[in-house]
Amino acid sequence: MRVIIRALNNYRISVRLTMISAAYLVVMSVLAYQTVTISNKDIDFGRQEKLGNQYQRPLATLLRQVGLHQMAALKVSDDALAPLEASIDESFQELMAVQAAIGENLDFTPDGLAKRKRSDFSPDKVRQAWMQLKGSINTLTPEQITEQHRTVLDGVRAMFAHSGDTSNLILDPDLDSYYLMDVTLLAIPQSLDRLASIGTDVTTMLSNSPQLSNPDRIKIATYQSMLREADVSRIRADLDTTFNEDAAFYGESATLKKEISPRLEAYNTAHDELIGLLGMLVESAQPVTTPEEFVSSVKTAHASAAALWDAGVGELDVFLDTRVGAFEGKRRDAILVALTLFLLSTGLVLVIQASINGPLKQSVAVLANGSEQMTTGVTEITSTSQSLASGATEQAASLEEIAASIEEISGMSRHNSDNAQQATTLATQVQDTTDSTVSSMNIMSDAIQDIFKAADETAEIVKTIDEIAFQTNLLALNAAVEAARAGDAGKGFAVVAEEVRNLAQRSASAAKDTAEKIRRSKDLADRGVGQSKEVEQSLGQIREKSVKAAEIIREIAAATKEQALGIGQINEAVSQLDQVTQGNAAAEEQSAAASSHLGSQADRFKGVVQEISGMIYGSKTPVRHAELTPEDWSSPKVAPKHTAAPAPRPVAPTPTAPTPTAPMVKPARNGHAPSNSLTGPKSHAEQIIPLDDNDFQGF
Amino acid sequence: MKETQPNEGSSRGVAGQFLRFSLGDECYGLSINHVQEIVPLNGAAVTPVPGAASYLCGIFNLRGTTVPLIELRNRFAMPAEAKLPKRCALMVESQVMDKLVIVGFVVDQVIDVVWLQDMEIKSAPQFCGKLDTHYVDGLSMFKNEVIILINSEKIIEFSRGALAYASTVKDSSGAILEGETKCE
Repeated sequence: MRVIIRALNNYRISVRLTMISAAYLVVMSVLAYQTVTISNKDIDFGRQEKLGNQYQRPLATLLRQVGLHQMAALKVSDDALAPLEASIDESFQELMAVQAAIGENLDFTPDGLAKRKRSDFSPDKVRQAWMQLKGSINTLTPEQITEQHRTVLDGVRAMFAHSGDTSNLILDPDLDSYYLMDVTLLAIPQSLDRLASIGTDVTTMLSNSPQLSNPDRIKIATYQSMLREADVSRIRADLDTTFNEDAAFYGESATLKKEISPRLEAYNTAHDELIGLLGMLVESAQPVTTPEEFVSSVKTAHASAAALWDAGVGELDVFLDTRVGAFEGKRRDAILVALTLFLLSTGLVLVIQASINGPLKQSVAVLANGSEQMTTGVTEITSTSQSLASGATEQAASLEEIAASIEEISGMSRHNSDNAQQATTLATQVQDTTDSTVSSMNIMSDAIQDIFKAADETAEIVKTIDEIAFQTNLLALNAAVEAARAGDAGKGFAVVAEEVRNLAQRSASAAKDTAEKIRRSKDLADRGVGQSKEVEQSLGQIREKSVKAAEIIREIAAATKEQALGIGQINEAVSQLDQVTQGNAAAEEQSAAASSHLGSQADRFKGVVQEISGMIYGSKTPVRHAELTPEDWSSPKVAPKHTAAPAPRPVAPTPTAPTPTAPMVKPARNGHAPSNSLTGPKSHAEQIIPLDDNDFQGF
Repeated sequence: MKETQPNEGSSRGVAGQFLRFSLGDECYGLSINHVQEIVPLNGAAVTPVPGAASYLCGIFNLRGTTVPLIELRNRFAMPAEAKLPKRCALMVESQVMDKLVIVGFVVDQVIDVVWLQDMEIKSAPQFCGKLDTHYVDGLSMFKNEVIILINSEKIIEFSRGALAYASTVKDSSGAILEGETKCE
């Protein structure tokens, strides 16, 4: 059982439902088949009977003709042999043709004949006997003629009987056709034979001695009573029954009465006459009839019987056709009904399948989508919590860095403060120095001014000297002039004048030099003054700047103090952050644990959904997702309940997680193999999904 | 020490002692025979003569003698110069119509007395563009300097009109006009 269930798990639900209906359809098919078979049996039965009739037609002809031939051969009648022989040959040919066509169907095979101990009565053998008879007809004695004719006739009668047996005619199931068959298969052949015998024997008797002897009369009486009882009344009774029962079996035959009645009347008439004749022959001492008249009476009866036989077989065929037709109709109806029911039930099955599958598929799609989203959500939560955790770690690290940096900054700030102090001191010193420099400068300026004054005074003096030199020079020149005018007397004077001029020149040049030097020193003094002015300016700027610097430094010092305060506050804040971070980390741990648990629940849910999908779609088709509406997602209560459910079964591969799965579920190639597992579907479902409600309370 | 040569007052290009003086950038020379004396003009009383020619910058009292002053700068068509502290007047005597006249030549600066040889004196009339060549006797080289030797007689001659006017002015008043000089 388990093996079957496992095998069935390969197929999806729709396929299994189809299997159920297939099972019932098989039953139905079997029943329909049986009905058809029965109908076929009846049809074949009827057809076989018809084959028998077909086979018997040449046999009946032979029976009649051989009988006539016997009478002709024994010179009882005055029929020519040749035409009879020709027609008998013809009939034999017809027989052979029929034998070739349907001989095997009617068991006219060596085995078939041997089984029924009729090996001597194959058509070939009978024909052989006839050929022999025909060939040696002229050389035979009347007894031999009779005997050989008997052989042939017996052969034909045996073939009649064989065909009747093998064609089921002898087992005809309907009363109307059965009694008709009795007429054609048994009664009339027997009668024809008898009539031939009567024709031969009685005519011979009459020919031999018109006054019939008592044994003859007894024989004739026997013939008569047999003819009357065994043949005529039998035939009449049979046909009566046939007429009566006609309506009860497949309706009234339209042609029965039409064909049979006239011929029956002719038959009755002919036979009544013959029977009467025979009675008279028995009774009457006087010759009642001539052999020729008797023979013609016999021949009339013979012919009427043959005609009746023809009609009878024809009508028997009609009966058979009707019956076969009725059975064929029945069969066709059965098949049609079966097909219709088959189609209807198939339609019904498909509709039911669809009605089951549709909502199931929808629900499964919704579930699948839901499980997907759940898994995604859980993944997101997990990753978020991970990133949060790592973020917290980073945060802590950053906070440490901040603390270290703050320490540095604090140190630098103190350093700044000290530097600012020093700078202030220096600035003040600079100011002092500058002030003293300025006063020095002023002194220097005064000194330079003095230099100017002195130079000016000196220049005055020099100017005077120059003036003197000039005058002296002039004087000397004048002296020179006088000396020149004086001529020789003034030579000495000229010399003196020259010397004086030289002196004057020297004075002048000395004065010039001195003036130059004074000018130069004044220039230098000028330059000095200029420089000192520049220096004073620079000093002024320096002072200004140092004042500014001192101010700025004061500001720096104040700012540094503020900075220190600020750093203190930052420190506080950082330590607070640190605490908060630790708190976060702890909370993160919890969150991660919860989300991992949620993740495992989501996986189980997913597994269940995949299983159901596998059942509905087969293992290889993708799970169709449906769009979830917000209402589909009720508020997720993550209550991790550890129920005692079995571990999730290995599931069939879905497109999102195409992993090779456990041995239980093999990928369905084409889950439509119609298996004949006829176990109840309900028990199956419960065994396949052994989850209980507890598992789903967690979602 | 230069010796005076016994020369008979030759006024042309003959060696002798020359008095060098400067006017502006150029150095001039005058034979010492003609020069009586050199008088400084700074602060000296020079009486201007109104209505006289421009080159006559005034008259001067030389120990009782009235001497007209000829501004040589003006005479030689040089622009007037204000600052000349060493300005002197050369008392030049000259024979005019058989009279011995003393005229003052105002010069920028007196340099010295030099002895010039004959061969040093060259006559180069093309040299001086500004100077009327009438006045130039010749040129001389002294220590690579060019001395333009001038003829005082010619100067006085060409200035006779003004000189006459100046003397008449003196003559009419009978006294030396006193006043501030503007020739400085």
